[in-house]
Amino acid sequence: MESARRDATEAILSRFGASLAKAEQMASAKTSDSWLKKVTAARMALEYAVLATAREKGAATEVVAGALKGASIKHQAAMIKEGAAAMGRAYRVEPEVLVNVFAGKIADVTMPKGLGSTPEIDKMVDTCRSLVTSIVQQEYASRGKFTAGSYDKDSFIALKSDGVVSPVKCELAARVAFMESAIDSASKAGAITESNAGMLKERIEAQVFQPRPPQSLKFSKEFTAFFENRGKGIRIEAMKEVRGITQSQTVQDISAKLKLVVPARVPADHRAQSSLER
Amino acid sequence: MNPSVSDLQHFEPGVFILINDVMTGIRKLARVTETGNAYLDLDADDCTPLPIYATLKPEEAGNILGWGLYFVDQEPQHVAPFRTLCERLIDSGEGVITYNRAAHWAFTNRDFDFDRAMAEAKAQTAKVVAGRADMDAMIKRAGGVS
Repeated sequence: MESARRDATEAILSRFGASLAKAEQMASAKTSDSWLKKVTAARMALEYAVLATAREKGAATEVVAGALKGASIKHQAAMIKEGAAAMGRAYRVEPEVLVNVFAGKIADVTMPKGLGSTPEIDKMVDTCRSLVTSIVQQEYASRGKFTAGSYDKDSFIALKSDGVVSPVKCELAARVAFMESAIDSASKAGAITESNAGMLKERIEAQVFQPRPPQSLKFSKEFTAFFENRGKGIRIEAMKEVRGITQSQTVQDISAKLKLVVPARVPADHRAQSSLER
Repeated sequence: MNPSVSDLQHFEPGVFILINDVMTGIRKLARVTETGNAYLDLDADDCTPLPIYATLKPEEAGNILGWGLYFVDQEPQHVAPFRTLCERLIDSGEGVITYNRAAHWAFTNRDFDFDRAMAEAKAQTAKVVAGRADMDAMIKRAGGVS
């Protein structure tokens, strides 16, 4: 899953121009399904980038599209980032979160069966656990330096530290958003039931945020008290941000378009749900 | 009162435990299956879940978040190197159980060198594999598998 997330994100942001160029080269050749999906993600990102840039610049979309078409690959990538940034500002989140949602919609991620998991999901969960550790460390180190209620004034992503948006928080929200959108996509494709998709998302969320110290060791009373209060807050704020994006109308609209371009299908190697599963 | 041989111990599905290996005698990191009373100790798809017998002294080992937060609480100087190590371990291409063995070894020994941690993890995995091979060989010799 990590490689799928990285591949899809890079296709959208870093190698966008190259992706389209290569797709054109491969048009007459046998094009792999996964490659088609990456290009589809890039096309969806491009469409929104053009729309967002046109609105921001007060120009017609076809003018922006024409300018983009004739621009260099480097310029195209910059335009995409600008469009994604505009989208991010509209939803008050970092563009990477949105990009990861799009990437998750088309990433072919094997879903677990029942209460199980998959190595891809396990690795993504472990990555998120590491990010949570960093966030808690930052907040624990600066505990007592915030005024009461300050957390409520800003969103999770917008919360600033020394005037800079916390990249760790952004990355955590992006990765969780990717997992959730990948599960949603698999559910719509029939690879996992809707109820199991919901349970899987809940389980992943619990795994990411639930600290499990070794049985033989205990946290200090001070840290336990801090984490009981602030740990829940971090989790609530992060998931509020993620759900706000994955359930937004824009993402639903783009998902619907993706469905038209890439017909929903059940992956041949998916781990189908048995009738015995809860 | 000591548990009888057949007594099972239950853990939350998905957590990591430390448990004695019957074949080799080592104490190994394993992962609890969805039943809660069995565990997997290899990343292979065909790994056979084994029961969590209480007599093998199973105990919860923690996870990357738990180990990291323990450092945040008690030894904050270790947080950054531990996180850097974990990122490398997750991206190493090794299976989840093996790289968590490496992270657990690093946590336990306060040694965050990637090569040493991974070598220790692979050594533990190799011992488990060898133990399984011994088990399979005995079963085959005894005619347990046609």
